[in-house]
Amino acid sequence: MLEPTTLQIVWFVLIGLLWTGYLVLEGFDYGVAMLVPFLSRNEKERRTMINTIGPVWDGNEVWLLTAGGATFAAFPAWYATLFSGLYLPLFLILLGLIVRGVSFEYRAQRPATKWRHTFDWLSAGGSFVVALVFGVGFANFVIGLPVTVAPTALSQANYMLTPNPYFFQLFSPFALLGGVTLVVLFLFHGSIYLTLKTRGEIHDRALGFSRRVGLVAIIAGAVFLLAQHIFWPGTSPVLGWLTLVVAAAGLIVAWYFVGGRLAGAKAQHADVVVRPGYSFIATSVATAAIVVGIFLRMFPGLGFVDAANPAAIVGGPTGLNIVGAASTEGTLTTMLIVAVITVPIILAYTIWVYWVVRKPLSVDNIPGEGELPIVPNAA
Amino acid sequence: MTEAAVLARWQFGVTTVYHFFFVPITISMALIVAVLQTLWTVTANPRYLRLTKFFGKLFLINFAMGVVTGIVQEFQFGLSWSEYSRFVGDIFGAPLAMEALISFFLESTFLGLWIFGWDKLNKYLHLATIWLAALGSSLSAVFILIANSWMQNPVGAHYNPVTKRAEVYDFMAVLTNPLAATVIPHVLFGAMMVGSSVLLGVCGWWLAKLRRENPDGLSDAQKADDSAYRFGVRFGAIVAMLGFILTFMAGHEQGQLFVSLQPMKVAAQEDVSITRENPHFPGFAVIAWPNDKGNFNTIGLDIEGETNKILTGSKDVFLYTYEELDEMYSRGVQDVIGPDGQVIQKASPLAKELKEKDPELYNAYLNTITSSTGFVPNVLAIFYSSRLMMIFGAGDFLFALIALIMTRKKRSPKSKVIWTGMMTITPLLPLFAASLGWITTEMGRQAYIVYGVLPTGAAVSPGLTVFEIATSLTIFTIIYGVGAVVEVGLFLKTVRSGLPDFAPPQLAHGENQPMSFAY
Repeated sequence: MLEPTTLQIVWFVLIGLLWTGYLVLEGFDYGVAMLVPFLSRNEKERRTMINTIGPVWDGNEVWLLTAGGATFAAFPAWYATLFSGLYLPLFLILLGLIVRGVSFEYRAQRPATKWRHTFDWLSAGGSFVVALVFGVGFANFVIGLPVTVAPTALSQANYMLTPNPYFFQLFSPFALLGGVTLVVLFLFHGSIYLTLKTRGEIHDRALGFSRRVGLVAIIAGAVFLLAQHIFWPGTSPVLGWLTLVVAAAGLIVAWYFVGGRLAGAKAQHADVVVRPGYSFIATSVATAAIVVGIFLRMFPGLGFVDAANPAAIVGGPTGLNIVGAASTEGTLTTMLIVAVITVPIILAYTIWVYWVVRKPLSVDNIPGEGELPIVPNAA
Repeated sequence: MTEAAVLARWQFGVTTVYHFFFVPITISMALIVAVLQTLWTVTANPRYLRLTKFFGKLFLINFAMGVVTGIVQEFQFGLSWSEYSRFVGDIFGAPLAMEALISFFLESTFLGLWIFGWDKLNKYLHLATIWLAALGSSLSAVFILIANSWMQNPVGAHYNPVTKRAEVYDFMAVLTNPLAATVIPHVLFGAMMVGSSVLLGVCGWWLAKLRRENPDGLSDAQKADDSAYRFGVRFGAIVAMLGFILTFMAGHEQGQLFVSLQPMKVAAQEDVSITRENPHFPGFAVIAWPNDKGNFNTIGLDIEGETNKILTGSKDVFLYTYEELDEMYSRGVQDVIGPDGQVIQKASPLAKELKEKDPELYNAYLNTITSSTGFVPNVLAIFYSSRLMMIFGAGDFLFALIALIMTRKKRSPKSKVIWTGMMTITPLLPLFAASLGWITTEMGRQAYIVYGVLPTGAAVSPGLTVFEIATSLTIFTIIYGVGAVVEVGLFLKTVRSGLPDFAPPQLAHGENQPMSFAY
């Protein structure tokens, strides 16, 4: 029987929190980037949309780097097997992150339409790939990645996915559904963010889109979560059920507050009170609940199963599980002290930055090209 | 080494060297922009604001590429080097996680606010954002160099034969690694040379251009430009010269440490070989080329013990040749003892415990080296990288000195072609020097990934296929190549557009006012 220490559980939870932070925060900026080519009618609208995420997207991405770094530090064997085993999917994610990461800065450097369209599609495509592959990946953690001790590793303590390479096996129907769900969820989350952060026609278009995509998100999410619950109930089905309910409720509430109503009620749309702020909180809660649900199923095997016995985790004190993969108590303690000190400070200044740039934008706020990057009205 | 491992090394080399072109620029330009903006905040002199905006834009173009290529590095340990990651994660993971928590959040969050904050924050708060971003950049270097120094000199760690990995017993020892104490200033001051040389080169280029295009004298507006560029030249030159002196001093300290930490690296760097005259007290070789005996002919200062004197300050310090070291290491020697019984190299506790507690694994690791490359790294590559590093660094110092002399007392550079050429080369010199420094120290560490403990060939992901690594290496190379063309193109375009017009930042009021900056 596996007996994880408190520190091991704390770090497992913290890594889940870092993933939640990443998906909630970058979720909307992936959504916005994917929507730029579709919801805009002209260059000023595109710039308005991009500038809603301009000041914050890079900080949002650090949550992913921190999740990666924390996994490396707290559960080295998890990081080692996961990253090497999912080599090609992670390579795709890196490509997506590279092209979208340079797009916002570089598109602004030249006014040519072709130049800018190229970067718009690169950032939309990059965001799509990253969201899709992470969705597929998380679904596979629920299913359980089959591992065995790598025969060629001299230490005989390195686990690798089997069969190797493990690539086409990743794309089961459930996993593909996971990918689609995450993309749709980000589109929903992103369109709500745009509704909150823009004024004028873009706001109206984003709101209209959120009503439509919200319904798709609810359906995709419901199928994904129910399938997960039925086929992979995990070690604590009651908690799993609870996260499912919270996630579903979150999506429905979010849809409700952007004015989503079922057919027949279309005429009432003009009267409904729209509260995109509530919707944004609701999609964030739903995302968090989905992550918690997935992490519940990754406990205590970290999303891996024994290839020889797929119903079991990789057991033993040096096995690929929350105990065997963990760093020493000393390292976990040191890292916890660092996290306890830094995370509240990070949250404080991140919230402050969001407060400073809180003002919703319209096309009127976008300066002309020639004026970049200087204030036009010199005193 | 397997074919996949060789390709994985190439990928790490290509992506790291590429990434490290952006790193020193980011670290130093963030600080330089912060200093320029501080000067503007304190003096209200328009030229400092214009310089801040100009170099701020160059900085951001560079920063974007630095960030995205940095993500690849964090993932790559797990992707291609999973056995390494598993083996060292208990120690190595911590500085990486701290880098993300402390540096990257600071850097990315406050840089975003700095870019968009001109009309949203008062000038003191706005100034604070660039300083915090710059602090984040510099701290990230500190953390990653602590991590790298541990690979070069694995202190504070035990070997645990049950978990078959390195485990930390003294985290303070990892943070206060004596090697890190010399590497951190060496790299940070080296980075300062890069940023200040960009400032010097760009401003110097413009100084000549203004005069070349206006032989009949400058207009008032051009005089204002001229004064800003002149400041950039002189400020950049002074920082570059100071940076060189400090980089040189820290580098010398580092070299002395390596005499005892990694005598093999030192022997390779100086071609300390049994084929040399006075093999243990060789003269200083300036040029080396391969001969048909599989060794090198050298030309240089043929003074006995000159190499020893340059490295250690004394020509009597005994140096082993790389052939002798190779033979000793192959026998499993860990502590290298000199002919008089003095300890030349003391192996890390981690290496000793591995040999003691898990002899089977130790021998298997040793065998991966003896059966393939042996312990001698690529002598010629290390020999020339280290020399070119020093030549480029000193060249930067010299160019900065010339620039300072030629612009003294309001003078302007006369020799247009030579000056322009010099200004174009100036930023490249410390940039390539930094790159070559990394190549020296990282290639000199081979055939180990964790020095004396884990061979590079044994650290690769056991499941890595040639298809996977060849695909990613090819695509990374293409994308990085395209990225370089785009980034350099934008950088030069921005350089050519020159200083932006002066317009002081104002706080936004009214919901429809255009932002002071927008993508």
